[in-house]
Amino acid sequence: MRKQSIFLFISLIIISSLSVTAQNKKLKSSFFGTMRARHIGPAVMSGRIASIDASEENPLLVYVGAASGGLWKSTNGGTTFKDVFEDEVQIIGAVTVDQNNNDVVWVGTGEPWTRNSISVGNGVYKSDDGGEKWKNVGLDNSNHIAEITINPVNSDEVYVAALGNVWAPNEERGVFKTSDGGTTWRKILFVSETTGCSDLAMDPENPNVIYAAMWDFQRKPYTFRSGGAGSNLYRTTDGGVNWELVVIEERFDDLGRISVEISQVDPNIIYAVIESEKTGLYQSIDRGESWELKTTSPTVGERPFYFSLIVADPIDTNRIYKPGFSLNVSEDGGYSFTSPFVEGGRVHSDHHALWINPNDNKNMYLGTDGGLYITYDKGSTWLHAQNLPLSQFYHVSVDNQKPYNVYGGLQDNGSWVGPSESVGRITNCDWLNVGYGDGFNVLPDPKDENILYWQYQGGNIMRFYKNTREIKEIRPFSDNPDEKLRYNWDTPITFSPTNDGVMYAGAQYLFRTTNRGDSWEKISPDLTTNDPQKQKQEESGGITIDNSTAENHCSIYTISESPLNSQIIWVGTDDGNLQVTINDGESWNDVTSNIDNLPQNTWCSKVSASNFDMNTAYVVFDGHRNGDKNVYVFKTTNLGENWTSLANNDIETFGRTITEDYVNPNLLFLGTDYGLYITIDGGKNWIRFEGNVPKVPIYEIVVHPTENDLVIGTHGRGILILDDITPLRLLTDDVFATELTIFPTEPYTITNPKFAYGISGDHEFRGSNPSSTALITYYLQKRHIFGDMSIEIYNSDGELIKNLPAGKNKGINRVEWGVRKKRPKVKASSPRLVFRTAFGPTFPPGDYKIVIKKGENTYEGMITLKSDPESGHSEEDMQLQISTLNKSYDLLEDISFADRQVKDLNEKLDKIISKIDDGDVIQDFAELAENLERIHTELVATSPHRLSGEKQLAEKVGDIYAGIINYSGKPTESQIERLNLLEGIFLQYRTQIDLILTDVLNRINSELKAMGMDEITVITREDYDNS
Amino acid sequence: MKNLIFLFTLTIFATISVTAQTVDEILEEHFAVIGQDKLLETNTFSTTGKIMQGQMEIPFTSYHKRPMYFRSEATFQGMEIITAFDGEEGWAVNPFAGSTDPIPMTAEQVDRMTLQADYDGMLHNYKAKDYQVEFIGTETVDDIETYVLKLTRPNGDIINTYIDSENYVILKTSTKMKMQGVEVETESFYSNYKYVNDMLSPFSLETKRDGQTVMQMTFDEVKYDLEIEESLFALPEVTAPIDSTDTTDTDEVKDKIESEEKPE
Repeated sequence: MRKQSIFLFISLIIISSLSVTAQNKKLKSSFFGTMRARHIGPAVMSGRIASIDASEENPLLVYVGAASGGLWKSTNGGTTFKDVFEDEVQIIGAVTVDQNNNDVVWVGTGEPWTRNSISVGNGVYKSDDGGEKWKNVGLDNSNHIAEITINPVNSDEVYVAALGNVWAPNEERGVFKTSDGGTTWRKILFVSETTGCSDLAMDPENPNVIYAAMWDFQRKPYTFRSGGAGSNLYRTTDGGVNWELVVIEERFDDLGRISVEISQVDPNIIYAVIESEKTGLYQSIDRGESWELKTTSPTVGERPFYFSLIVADPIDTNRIYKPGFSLNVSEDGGYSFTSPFVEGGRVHSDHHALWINPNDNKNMYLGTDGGLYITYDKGSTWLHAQNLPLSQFYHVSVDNQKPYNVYGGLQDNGSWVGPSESVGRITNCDWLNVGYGDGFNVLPDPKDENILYWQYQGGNIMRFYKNTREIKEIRPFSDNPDEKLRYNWDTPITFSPTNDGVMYAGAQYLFRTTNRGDSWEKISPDLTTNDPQKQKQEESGGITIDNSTAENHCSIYTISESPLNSQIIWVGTDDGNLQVTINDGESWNDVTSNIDNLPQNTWCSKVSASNFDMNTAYVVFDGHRNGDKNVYVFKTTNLGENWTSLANNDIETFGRTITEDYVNPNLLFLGTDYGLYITIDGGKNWIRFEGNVPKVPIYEIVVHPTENDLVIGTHGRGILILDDITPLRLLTDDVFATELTIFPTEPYTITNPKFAYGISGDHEFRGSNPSSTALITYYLQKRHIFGDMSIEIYNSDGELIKNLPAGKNKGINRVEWGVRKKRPKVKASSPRLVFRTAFGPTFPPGDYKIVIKKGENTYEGMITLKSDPESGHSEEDMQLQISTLNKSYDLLEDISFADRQVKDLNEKLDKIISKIDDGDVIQDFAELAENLERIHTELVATSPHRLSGEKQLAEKVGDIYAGIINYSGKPTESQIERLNLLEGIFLQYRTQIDLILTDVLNRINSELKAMGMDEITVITREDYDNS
Repeated sequence: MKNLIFLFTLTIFATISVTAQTVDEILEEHFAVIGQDKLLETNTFSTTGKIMQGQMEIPFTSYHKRPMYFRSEATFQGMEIITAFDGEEGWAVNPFAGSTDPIPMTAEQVDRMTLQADYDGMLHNYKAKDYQVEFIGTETVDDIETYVLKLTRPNGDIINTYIDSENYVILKTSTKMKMQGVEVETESFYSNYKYVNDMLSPFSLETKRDGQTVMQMTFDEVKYDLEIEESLFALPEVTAPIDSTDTTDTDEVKDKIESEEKPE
C-alpha cells in the first residue's frame, strides 16, 4: 500500500510536470511576438516622484525614482530621460548613486510616502552598469524602502531603511546592512512589527555614526495611524552594532514620523523634524549631544506621513529646505522659513524629494506629485520636466470619435482628455485638462460630445461643458438631512451599457440618474457592511489628524450593469461585499459568502458583467490593504451562486481589474499591481504581456468597441494602447499547430501624410501614434533562421507590386506595408524635382494578395485597401485625383526618359565627333548636339542648387504632382488645365525627339556606316525602366 | 523512481554542460558551422542587397578585400553614398550631408570602420585584435537558448553576440558604443541563413533601438574571390559626376518621417 502511494505520488509529479509543460507550450509570452503597446503619455502633468539622486561629480547625471512609474535616468541634466527600470517593478522608494563609482546604482522599491493609493515594492535592486541591468539583491518583503545610504569610504557597505508593510505587521522592516555589496544582509535595528525605518543620516566624516528614524505606523483601508511606542530616533557609533536612543524631546508620550539630516558641510550640525503633539524642527550643533527646538511652525509639521523630509544646503550651513505642500527655506538654521519662489514658483504642490548640487547650490532637482522640477537660481524659478510620462490614472474610458479620445483622472493631477492619435505625435499640448483635485472616472456623455463628467475625491461629481468650460456639481444627496452619504475616495460612476444616458453612482447606496445628474433615484439599500468601527475617519491620521476622504469606507467601489439585461446590476464594495440585483434594484442578493477561499472584508476592486451571457460575471478582490497580496479573480455563470477561481501562480501579485473582450469570451485581460496579464482560454492560463507594458500598477482596461484597441490605464506610466487586438482573438490550438498562419485584418484606410510642427526641442514627451501603414499580421510557430523568408504583394491583376522583408519572430508578427507605389523616376540632379516627387502615389483601393514564402512553403492571405470614408470626397472626385496624379506620374517618367535619350545620344555624338574628319559631317553633328543640348536644358533644370529657382518642364510637372498628391479629392481646375498644357508641350518635345531618333539618326547612322564606323543606338524605354 | 532520478540527473548534467562551455569551445563550434575555414581561404567578397528604413529602400553593394579594405555604395534618391576604408584611413561621399566631394572620416568613424572591415569577423582571432571575449551565460532569444559572448574593445565598445546553442549560428548582437560621447545601444537580429560556397551567411538583418525596428537589410547575393582593385578604396581625387543618374525606382519615403518635415 505504501509502495503504491509512492508510485502514485511519483506519477502525479510526472503528470503534473508534463501538464505544466503542455500548458506552458500553449501559452507563452513569446506567442505575442512583436505586439507592443504604445505609450501616449500624458507627461504634461507628469506624476508623483518619490526619490532623486544625482552624481556629485557630474550633476547632469540624475536618476529620478517615480512612486509608481519606474526609474528614469538623464545624462544631460533632464533634457531627456531614459526608462532604465523597464523590466522591473515600477514602484520606487529610494534611489542612491554610488559617488565612488557612478555606474553603481541602488534602488529600493516601494514608495515611502504612505498615502492611501500607495503601491508595493519587492526589495532592493542594484546595477553595476549605470542601470543597464538590475539584480534583485534581497529584502523582498520589505515592501517599502525609504532610504539607501552608502558608506563613502567603502562602497560595499550599504544601509537600507525598510518601512515594512504599510497595511499589516511584518518582520522585514527596520535598518538592514550589507557589508558585501548586497550579497548578504543583516537586520541591525528592529523595534517592532509595526515599526519601520523612515530615514537614515550618516556622518560624512565618520560613516560609523548613523542616525535612524524609526516610525511606528499602520494603514488600514479605513484609517491611518502615524505614531506609537515604537517611534524614536536612534544612533549608532559603530556601524550598527550598537544603537542608543537619542532623546530630543521628553514632553510627549508617543512620537510619529521623524526626518533626520546631517549637514554635509559641517557634520556638527544635525536637524530633526519630529512629529508629535507639537511637531517641531530641532537642531543640534554638537553632533547630537544637545538639541534646540527651532520652530513648531505648521510649515515643518504638515502631513508628516507624506512630507517628512528636511534637506540641508550642502554649502550654506544656515540654509535648510522643508519640502511639504510647497517648498520652504530657512536662512537662519531653521528659526524662520519663507518661500524660495521669488520670481516664479509655478510648481506643483506636494514635495517629496529634493537634491541640491553640492558644488553649486543654485542648482536643484525637486520631486513633487506633479513630477520633476529643475532650478538654476536657488529655487526662485523652475523648469518642469514635461518629458516624464508618469501620470497616475485611476480610471480610463474612451469615446467613439475618430480618432477616439481617451479620458481619465489622476492622482493629484485632475481630470484629462487626450487623443489616441494625433498629427505627427501625441504631444503634451494635445491633452485637455477638464477637472481639478484628484481625478478618477472621466466619462464622455454618450449623446453629446460637448459634455463629459468628472469628479474629485470623495464623490464630488461634475458635469462639464467643453465649449464654455462651465461646471455643474451633480452629486446625489441623501433625502435624510442627518444622514451622511459615504463616498469612497474613488467614487464609482458609470454609464448603463443598455440605455444611453442612464448613469449610476455609488455611495453606500446605489444611485441612478436619467437626466445627467439633475436628479437621482436611490435603487438600493445600504449595500455595505456599514460597520461603525470603520467610519471614524475624523480620527484618522494618528498623531496628526488627516481626514481628507482618503480613508472613507463602507462604500460602493465598483458597479456593472449587464450589457444583455438592464435588470441585472452588480455592485462591489470597499469593505468586501459583492451584491447583485436581477430585478432592477428591487431586491439585492449578497453573494459574497458564495465565494470560497476569499478572506472576509477583502476590497472588491472590480466587478464586470459578461458581454456574452447575462448570468456570467467576473470579479476581482484586492486584499493588499489588509496586507494580503494573493490574487482573487473569480467567475460566476449563475448570477453569483457559484464561483470559480481564475487565479493561479502565473500571476505575480494581487489583481486590481479585469476586462472581458467583446468578441472572444475566452480572451480576458487582468490588471495587476505588476502589469498586464492575458488569458486566451477563459482564465485557465495567464501570461504576462511584456510587449512594452512594464510591471506598473494597472487600474483599468478598456477594449475599444469599434477600433479593437486595448486601452490600458496605468497608475504611473500614463495610458498605454495595444493597437488592434484581433490577432489575440484568433490564437487557437489550430493556429499554434501551424508553421505559419496569416490573420485576416480589417481593411486599411488610405491616408495622406499630414504636416505637423515637430521641432519643439528634445525636452518634450511625444507619445506614439498607431502605425500609419497597412499591417500584415501572422503567427509564426518558431523563429525563422535558415533559408529565405519574404513577403510578396500582388494586385487584383496578379501583378507583383511589392517585396517586403518578413518578420521572423516567434509568435505574432506585424509587418508594415507603406501602400505606395515607387516614387516616380526623375532626374536626380534636380534637387527641387527630387524633393517634390519624394512620394509615390498610393495603390488604389481594392483587394491585394499577400504571399509569404518561407523556405519551400508558401502561405497566402488578403489585405484590403479602402479610401477614407471620413474624407467627404465623392467617389468620382477621388477617381479624378487618382487618374490626374497617375497622369502626372507617367508624364514625369516620360520626360525623364526623353531627357535620358537626348542625353544618351548627345554623349555618344560627343564621343564620335572627335573621330570624324569630314567638316560637313562635323558641322551636321555639332548642330544636332546643340539642338539636343537645348532640348535637354528645356526638359529638366540643370542647376544642382535646391534654391536656384530654375524650373523647366519636369519641375513644372513635379509641382503639379506634389500639389495633387496630398489631397485625395478633386484637383483644382487650374491643376488639371496646367497638366494638360504641360503634357501638350511635352508631346511637342517628344515629336521633335522622335524625329531626331528616326529621320536624323537614320541619316547619321548612314553617314557613320559610310565612314565604316559603328552606328549609334539610343537607350530604349525597356532598358531605361530596368536601369 | 528511477525515472525521476534519471530526470533529475539529466537536468543537472544539462546545467553543467551549459556552464562548462568556454568561449573557445563555443566559437570552435560556431566557426565549424558557418564554414570559417573556407572564408579564410578567400581574399575578397562582395554583397548586394537593400537597406530598408521605414518605407525607404536603398540598394547597396559592398566590397571587402583582405587585409582590411572595405567599400560600400548605396543609392538613395538617385544619389550615391559611398563609404570606403583602406585599413587605416576612411572617407565618405554623402550628398545628403551637403557635399558630393569625398570627406575624410573622423577618428571615431575610422575606429568603427575597423569593425566593419574586419574580413573574418570580430570574433575570429579576437585576442590578436586586442578584444576581450567572455562567455557571460545563456539567454533566450525568442525562446531559443543562446550562448552570450561579451566582446569588449579597447575603446570600451561592448558587443554581445548571442549564439544559438543548438545550431551555433548568431541570432542576435547587441552593441553599446559611445558616439561623440553619447552612449548608443542597438540590437541586431540575423536570419535567412544560406550557404554560398559552403559558407553560411545571414541574408537578412534587422536592427532595433528601444525595441523598435529602425533598419532592415536583405542581401540578394554574396560573391567571393572577385577581382577588386585596391584603388577602389583610395581617396579619389575627383568626384564622379552625378548628372546622368536618375532616382531609383525603389525609393520611397516613409510617411511618418516626411509627415514631420516642413514642406518647401
